[in-house]
This record gives sequence, C-alpha cells and structure tokens, in this order.
Amino acid sequence: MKKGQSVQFNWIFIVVSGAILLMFFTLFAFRYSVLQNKKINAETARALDRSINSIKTTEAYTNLDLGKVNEIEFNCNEFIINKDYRQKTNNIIFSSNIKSNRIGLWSKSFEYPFKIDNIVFLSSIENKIYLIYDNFNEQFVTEIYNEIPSLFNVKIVNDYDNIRDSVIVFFVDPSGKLDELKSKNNKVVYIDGADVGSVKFYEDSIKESSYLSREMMYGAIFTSNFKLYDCSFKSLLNKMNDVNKIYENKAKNMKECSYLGIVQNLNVNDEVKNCLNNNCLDLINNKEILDLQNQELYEQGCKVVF
Amino acid sequence: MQSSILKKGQIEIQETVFIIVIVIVLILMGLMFFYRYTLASIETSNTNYEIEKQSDLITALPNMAEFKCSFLNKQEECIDLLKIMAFKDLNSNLFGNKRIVIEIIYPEKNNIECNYGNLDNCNNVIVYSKIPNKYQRKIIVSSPVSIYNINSNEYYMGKLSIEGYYGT
Repeated sequence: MKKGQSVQFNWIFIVVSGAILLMFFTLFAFRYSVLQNKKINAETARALDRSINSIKTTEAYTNLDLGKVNEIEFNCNEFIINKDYRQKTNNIIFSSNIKSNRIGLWSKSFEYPFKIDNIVFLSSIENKIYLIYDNFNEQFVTEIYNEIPSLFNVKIVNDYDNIRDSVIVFFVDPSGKLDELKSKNNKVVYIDGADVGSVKFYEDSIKESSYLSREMMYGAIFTSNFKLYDCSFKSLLNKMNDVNKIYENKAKNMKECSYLGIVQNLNVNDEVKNCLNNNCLDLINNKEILDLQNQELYEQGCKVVF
Repeated sequence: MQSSILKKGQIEIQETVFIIVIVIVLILMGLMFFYRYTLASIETSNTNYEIEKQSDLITALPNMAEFKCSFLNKQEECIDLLKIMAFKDLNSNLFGNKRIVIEIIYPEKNNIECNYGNLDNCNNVIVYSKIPNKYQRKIIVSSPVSIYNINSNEYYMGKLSIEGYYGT
C-alpha cells in the first residue's frame, strides 16, 4: 500500500465508521425516547385507572391532575393514552375523549331497582357543558344542574347564541338551530324526557338512543357522542342482565315462600335485547314491578330477594 | 526497508480498525442491554400494577353488587352465600387469570365444596377459576369475610382468597 492510499483509507474508514455510529446513536436516541414516552403514558394510564377504581368504591367526586396535557381516548372496555398505551378496564365509564391535564371524576350508583354498579363519569375540567332549559322544564333542569358536582364546568342557560366550542345539552327540541350551533364547533345533545326517555346526538346524522335512569342521562351528557354513549350503555345493560341472573338464581333457591313471580320478572333477557334495539319500555316497567314484588314479600313475612 | 515500513503501517491500521470495531460492538451491546432492560422494567411495572390491583380486589370484591348482602335495597356488610353460588353459575370472565375461593372457617363444617343442596353443611365455594397453563408468578391474598346463608338465617366467619397468576 502506498502512503497516499493509506491516508485515503484512513479518511474513508473514519467517515464510514463515524456515519454508522452516528446513525446508530440517532436510532437509539429515537427508540429510547419512544420507550420513555411509553413508560410515561403507562404511568399516566395507571394513575387514571387507580383514580377510577378508587372513586367507584363509593358515590363521590374528585379531580385528577395529570401534570401535563394528555390525549385520552375511550373505547368500550379500555382507554388509550396519547394514542400509545392501552389500559383495559372492567369499569363502566361515561366519558368523551379528553385532551387535558385536569380531569374531573364522578361516581354514581346505578340501580335496577337493586344496585347494579357504581358508574363513573369523566370530563376535562375545561370542557364546557351548557344545559338549555325553557319555561316548562326549568325546575327539572335546575335539579340536574344542582346534582352535577361543581368541579365540572357546567352552566345552566336559556340563551345560547354566543356559545362556541362546547357541549350544548338541550332539554327542548333544538331542530332549526342546529346548523348555526354546529358551525360554532359545538356538540349538540337533545334529552327528550325526564328520568327516563330518549337521547339524540346531532353528529353527521342524528343518532338516537334511550336512557333508563338519571345516571344514564348524565352518561349521555358526559359522553356527548353516540358511539361512546352506546358502548357504555350496552356494557351497563349487560352488567344489569348478569346481576339480574344472580338474583334470579338466588330467588330460585330461596326456601319457605314462593318466589315464582319475582323469579319470572328477574329474567330480563328479552327486555334487555329489546332495549338494545331501542325499545326499553318493558325494561323500565319491569323495574317498578320488581320493587313492588320485593316489598310484597317483606309484607308477607317472607325473606326478601334484594 | 520501504516495504517493511509499509507492512508495519498496514498492521497498525488493522489494529486500529480491530480496536474500533470491538469498541463499537461493546457500545452496541451495552446500549442494546440498556434498551432491553428498560423495556423489561416497563413489563415488570405492568405486572406489579396487576398485583397491586389484586390487593385492591380483595377489598372491592365483598362490596360488589354480585356478592354483597342487601335488605330492602340497603347494602349490608356481608357476602350472600346464595349470590356467590349464582355468580359461579354465570361462568363470568370478569377477573382474568385468577382463582377466587371462599372458605367457611367458623362454625367448623365438613370439608366439602358447596352446591345448592348442601349449603348448611359445606365449607368452601370456588367462586371463580381461570388458571392459565403457563405462568411465572402466583400471588395469593386473603381476607376475613362475613358470610350470610339466607335459608338458614345464619352468619358464618369465612376467608376470601384470591390467587392471581402472572407472566402468562
């Protein structure tokens, strides 16, 4: 090898090995940063999961400060932090997708007529929710407003002309004003009923569902999205069906009195199926019948089922 | 003379290349090890969180509507034996890879698994059982519970045990 060639070789070697090293370090730094983000997202998910698990042990409300702004996407039985980390959950959660660092959590018991579960409502503290009333339902809407914890950014109004970037919950038919409201980047929900009724979500098209109790109505308000509401609604109905089956089997095996009547009404398979197809009337009526039958058992001196 | 100097130069270059290659390989291995260690630590923290949730479950389970006693819609601090049996019949997948057993400790009863026909004279119910074929860790947590048999109107002292299977 000539001297000139050796110097040339040295330079080529330095450039090639330098490039490889630089490439490797860049790749490593990139992958490590992805890994660190995953770790942070996992910790965020666990913090939220812990808060949900702890709030649902009783009826309560609290807020959670996540430190930095996170995107939280909800699916049926999981939530995804920053499109990266999936946390599975068995809890029934009513929430819209959140982009915030401060989250409000509220837990309420759902009964049919016996306790089914505590359901959890989540919302960003900054998420503005307006409840729109008219003269006919002012008292009912005020009652709803007073029941929602003040940590959520909920207001009760009857003038909604200047509302932007918010969730607007109508308790009066909003048809006719929709285009204007949606052009101001609002989500529009129409609650048609009182403690039971139907709910319409004005999205690309109008999507309708039902609610069986005030808790489910809060669910519609906090999700303000048909897909998210429908998903949690179905989970809640399935859970209700399971708990009913438990009471049905319990009643079948109780001694001393005849429990045939209540056993029949505790089987709500068909009613749940109908309700999933938007006909919840039988399920609503059945709740009152069950309560009466249980009360009658007590009055007859029998042991009660629930 | 000149060729021996050149050969010496070539050997030096080869030595330098060799050392640099070794150093690079060592750095690569170190970084790979560090990356894998970080990845493994995330997985370990997932498992630790699942174990933490198992400890929470032991306090949450007796308060679940599926198990808790109630009288005229008011919740009472006990586990309803008939509800446990009914939950068992559901074949639920609610708790993942776990085995949940409730034993009656007092009064002492025959060491027989409970069914609807022998509730007055049995001492254990396998409430839930989903044991994976392969697992790395098994954690058991237990807690005392009060059990109510509505048919005999008796309260028993019992032990709720949750076995969790991890690293499947």
